[in-house]
Amino acid sequence: MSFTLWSAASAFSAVSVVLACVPIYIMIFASGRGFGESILCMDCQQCVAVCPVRASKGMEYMGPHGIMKTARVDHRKRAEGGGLYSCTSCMSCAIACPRGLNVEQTMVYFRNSLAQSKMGQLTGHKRIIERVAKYGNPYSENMATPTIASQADDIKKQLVGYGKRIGVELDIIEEKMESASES
Amino acid sequence: MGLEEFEGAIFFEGCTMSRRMVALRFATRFLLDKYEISYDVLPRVGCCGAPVMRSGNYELGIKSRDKVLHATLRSGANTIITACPGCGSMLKEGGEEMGIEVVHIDEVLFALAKEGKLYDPEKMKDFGKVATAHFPCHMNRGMGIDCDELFSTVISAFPKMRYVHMEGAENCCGAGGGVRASQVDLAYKIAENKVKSAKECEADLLIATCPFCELHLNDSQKKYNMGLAVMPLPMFVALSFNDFEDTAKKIGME
Repeated sequence: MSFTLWSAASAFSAVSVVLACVPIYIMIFASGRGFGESILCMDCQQCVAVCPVRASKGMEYMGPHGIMKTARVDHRKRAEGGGLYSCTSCMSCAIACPRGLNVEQTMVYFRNSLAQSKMGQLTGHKRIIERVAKYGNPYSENMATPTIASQADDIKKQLVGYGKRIGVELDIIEEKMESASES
Repeated sequence: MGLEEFEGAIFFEGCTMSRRMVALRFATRFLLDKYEISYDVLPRVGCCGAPVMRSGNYELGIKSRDKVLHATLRSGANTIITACPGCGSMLKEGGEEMGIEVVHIDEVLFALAKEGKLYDPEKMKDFGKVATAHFPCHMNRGMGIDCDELFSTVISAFPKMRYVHMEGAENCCGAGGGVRASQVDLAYKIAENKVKSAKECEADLLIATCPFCELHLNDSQKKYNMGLAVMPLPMFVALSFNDFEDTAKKIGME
């Protein structure tokens, strides 16, 4: 009888120790994936209060607190469904966090984690990565920077637009056309 | 930072400015020449890494960023001037470890205004408008710049201009993180309050000094019929110069 009681007590203690260590397991797991900061989140939701996407989309978007919570366990499916790619990376959450946690950086790691599992990425994001990997810029253009002279027409067109916005008539396009016609 | 600290900097044009927002590229170079700040540019401008990193490839983002920083060090410079807060924020993060100072062109204008060298009535015009400013997230929070002080100082350097702080100036415009590219309705919804707030403070001019914010806020003010003039700060200052038009005329003709 006494042996059984002793065994039961030992088993209870062992289970208690294992359960008490759960936060440590989660911390080790999260840190290994670059989500160490998410463990320090104290669920105060100050970040949610300042999130512009949450204000527009409501509960449809999991918000910065949701990102931190799901990042702890790298729950990619929930992050995909919760709209991780709706984050505008404005960093308001990082400033609002009383513990100074960089929620935006956790979002970046999380997007990386999702992309590696081919989850949630939108066509636009995939295209940016492919182009930068191939050409060094997201526009599929040569690495060498174009000269100002080669962009003359576009620059002038855009400048005329800016001038109009502030009430300045820039007579720069006509001038070129005139000189071209004279020659 | 004092003006002398900008000397010999690399003007990092970034992929969007060097390939799409080309007028801003020209205006920034024009200002650096006008204020006699010597600078150099990298011959092959790659991505700063920020868009790739936020699109889901962290390693490629860091690799792209470090490429720019190493190229800067190889050129002998230890200061980078950029006109894109996205690039600025990304490069600043890695630059600190390498001893590279990363500044936004608006900080150069701010330093000029503080020293009383920004506005010259003989060479520049004063539009006499009411201006307010949007504080780009990556400039305000990312680069840690006090945008309110910066914009009020630069705008107030023009005697007839008036700067007003709009409510929610520091709020996101909705374009970042690939949201404008992938969820344009959400981006417009976020921008709605911003353009309305600019209109409510009776501003004619909305300074949006980030290429992406500017593009998005200009489209948003059109969508919501606000009648605002949206432009980046360097463009506003460049347009104030009396000889800007003549210089612009000569592009591609020399």
